Formats: sequence, structure tokens, C-alpha cells
Amino acid sequence: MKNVNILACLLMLFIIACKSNSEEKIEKFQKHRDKIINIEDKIIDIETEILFGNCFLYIIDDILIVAEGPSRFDKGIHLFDKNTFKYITSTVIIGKGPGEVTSPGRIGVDRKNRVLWVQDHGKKVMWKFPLDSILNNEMYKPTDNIDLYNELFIERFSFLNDSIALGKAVRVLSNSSFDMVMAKLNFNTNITEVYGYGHPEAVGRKSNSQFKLSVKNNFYVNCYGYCDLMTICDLDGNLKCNVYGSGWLNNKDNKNNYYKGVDLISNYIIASYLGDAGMIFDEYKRLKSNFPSKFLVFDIDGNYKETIETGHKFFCFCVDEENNRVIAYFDGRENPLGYFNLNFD
Amino acid sequence: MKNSGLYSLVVFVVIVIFTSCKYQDSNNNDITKDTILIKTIIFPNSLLKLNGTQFQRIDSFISEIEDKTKIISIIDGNCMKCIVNQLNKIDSTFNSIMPGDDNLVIFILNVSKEDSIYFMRYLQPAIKATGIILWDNNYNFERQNNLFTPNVNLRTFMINNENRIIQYGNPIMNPDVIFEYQEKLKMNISK
Repeated sequence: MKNVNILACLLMLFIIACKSNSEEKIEKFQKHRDKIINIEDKIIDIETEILFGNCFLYIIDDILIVAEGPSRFDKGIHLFDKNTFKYITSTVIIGKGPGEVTSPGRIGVDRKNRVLWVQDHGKKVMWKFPLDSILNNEMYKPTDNIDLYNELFIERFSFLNDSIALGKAVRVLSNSSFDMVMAKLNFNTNITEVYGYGHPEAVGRKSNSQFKLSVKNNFYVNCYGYCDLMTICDLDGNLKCNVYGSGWLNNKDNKNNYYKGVDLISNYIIASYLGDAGMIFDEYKRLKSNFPSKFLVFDIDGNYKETIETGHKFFCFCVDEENNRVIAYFDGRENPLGYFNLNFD
Repeated sequence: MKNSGLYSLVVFVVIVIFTSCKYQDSNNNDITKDTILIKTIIFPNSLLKLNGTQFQRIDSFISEIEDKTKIISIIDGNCMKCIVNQLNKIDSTFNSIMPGDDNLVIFILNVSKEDSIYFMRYLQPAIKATGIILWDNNYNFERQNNLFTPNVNLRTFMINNENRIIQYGNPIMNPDVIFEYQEKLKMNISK
């Protein structure tokens, strides 16, 4: 009888230990991210033929796409050779006429079919821009589009296959509020559905996250702006792990910003990280956005590898995997566009 | 004796630190609600008068407005909302209480050199204000008058004929303040 009791106790201890171990693998707390590599003097300026303001950067084939937020010119998207940074052309004619884009938003890049999907929040549609049409006709105006519905529309996404895109969607809750949810869009039917895991604490404004997908490695990652959280899920939407930083749950008033962007390179996740107040006063006492100056690098299981400190605040970035480098749009450098090389395996 | 020397040294260091902290504090020139009403305003010569799409020097303009009561609003001209929701609205709000030609609405329009082409191309056509617009490309007006403040409500104020600030507040943010401006205008006319 005594032996049975001892055996039962041992069995219980074994089960508890196993459970705790598996939870550790899913819930990862990283208080110390202190392996810092300074690359301030390794940033190489990119001198471009045309000037542009704050923008989002994408890469498709050998082309670097610069998508201006509010465009300062007649066209909203500029194309450069990603290897030489030579200007190629501009597209997305800004306007209210047929085939013109009234209020451009983010871009979805269909690399396989060489298509850019450009959101137009003025006309509430997503325009189809085939890359060949853009390159052959500098005044190209698209004719194909899909509607962006009021209730739920995908805002930042990547393609899972020819017809399905995964990404973060805006879910309108009322005239003055929204949240963001993981969603799946079928381009053939234009049906958007809520999809996959969402962290229970990342709700309301905290649900805003940056998204990236890797079909090759069978996962997608969400890096949150208002909570120090990164979630990694498999392509079926199941949680692989939550990665928490030192600012987790320290941001009740949402004044701090954490992740601002994310991209993937070989077997690594590279995310821009602020970890400080999102709005600051400049020398003229004007409120302005605060941008990150560093990247956190993780492996695809969310384990912290290193911090890359650029020494300059930047607005956005993209990874040029073929050339093993990061291209960023910096805030406050004479040449805002610059790049630095990575030495990942 | 040795201890008393050490004690004196510590006291001396503490006094130095204390006074240097105090000095630093007095150097903080942020304008506040308490300090704005004692200020006298000057118009730097580097400002330019924006007349439609033309720029003019302000020398003669300054002498023209010397004896007038003036309402001044500092506007950052870097977005359409700044022009439509601030400049145009403030102008029409103040115009509704202006009794005569002796009173002026003046806008200090902050536009950096880098943004000037964009401003003239896209934002200038949206200006519907009838008030005087003074172009400032480097925050010279606020710098020379020590008016830098994070409080947007303190960037709109009234100055009397001696250029002293006698009322402050942005009527778009705080609609009730318009009655205070109206009261001050009446008082100035009766004088």
C-alpha cells in the first residue's frame, strides 16, 4: 500500500513537471535582451533620383517598391532596382477618376503572380496592379479590383497560395472604434473570415500588430504595437508560442509602443522595436511620433538571438533576402533611405 | 578638525549642486498659463507676408499695425487639417466678433523650407482665411518671443496696441473663450 502511494506521488510530480515544461515552451518570457550589436557606422546611404516622404518598403523580384503614405506627388508608388537602387518608374496615379487611387493604403505583394494589390481607402477597393503592366506603361490605370467591406477588411497580408491571403484585418465595431483580428481572404470569392489564434489580452487598441507569413517554414508571426508581445502560429492558425518582453502588461494607458514592423530572413524573425513612448515632444514642443532605432532578432521558435542597434530612428524597413541586407527609411538622416548588411547564416 | 573640514566640503558640494539645479530650472523657458500674460510680442524681420501666392517683406506691414489690437494664432502648416480645421475655422470664428478695421487677425504659419513646395502646391489653395498670414520657416516668431509650449491652447492669443498679451486661448478647442476675447475687444474700443 505504501509503495502504491509513493508511485502515485511520483506520477503526479511527473505530470506536473511535463505540463510546466510544455507551458514554458508556449509562453516565453524574455526579460533580458542584452546582446547588442551596434551597426551605426555600417549604414550605407542610398541616393535616389527622386525624393519622397515617409513610406512603406516592399520587395518583389528585383524591384524595391516605395509606397508613400500620403503621396507628395501625382503618383503614390515608386519602383527602384533593388540591387543598384536606380529609379525605374512610378505608378498608382492619385486622383478621383476611373482607375485612379484616391487614398492609397498598404500593399499586398503576390510574388508568384507578380501582382501588387493596392488598397484605396477612398474608394473602398483593392486595386490589382500587374507588375508587367506597371513596367510597360507609366500611366497604367488598373481596371480590376475587389471591394473592401465596411465590417471586416484585410489591411496587411501575405499570400498563402494563388487565391488565399492571411493577414490582419480591420473589424469595425462602431462609427468611432475598431479592432484588428487575424483573418483569411479568399480573392476568388472576396470573402474575409476571422481566422486563427488571438491573444486574450491583445484586444481593442492593443490588437494592432504587424504581420508576416512564411509558407516555407509553415508559420506566421504577429508583433504587437501596444503590448510587448509577439505571437507565432502555424499556418492552420494554431498557437506555437507567445513571446513576452519586459514591457508586457506595463502599458495600460497605451502610451508606449513596442513592435513597429516585422520581416523574415532565412530562419530568423527580424522586428523593429521601440519599447518607449509612442509620441514625444520635439525641440519646438510639437508632438511627434517616436520611431525605433533597433531591431530584435529571433529564431522561428521565438528565441531571442540579438539586438541590432542602428543609432538612427527609422520609419520602416524591409529585408532583401537575396542580398542579405535590411533597407530602411530613416528619420533625420540627410539621405533617409539606407541599408546595412546582415551576417546571418 | 579633519572631520569639520570634510563636513564643510560636503556642505559646499551640496550647495553647488542645489544652486546648479535651480539655475537649470530657471532656464526652462516653457511658456505657461501663468507667464503668458506678462509677455510683450515682437515680430521678427525674417517673417514674410504671404499674399495669395506672393511673398512680401513685413517692414511696412509692421508699422501699419502698430497701434492696433491684434489676435495672433500660430499654425503649423504641415497638413490639410491644420489649414481647414485650424486656420480657416479660427479665422471665421474671430471675424464674427471683430467690430471694425482697427482689429486684426494674424496667423503665424510655420512651414519648413523642405515642406514649402509641397505646401504651396497642395495646402495653400485650401486657405480661405481673410486674416494676415505671416510665413515663418524656422519657428523664428516663437523662438524670439520665447513662446514654445506643448499646450496648443496657448498658441492663440490677443495683444493690445502695446503688443502685450491680454488674452489667450483657442476658440476651436475651448469655445467659451470667444466671449472673453469679445469682452477684451469691447474694453479696448471703449479706451
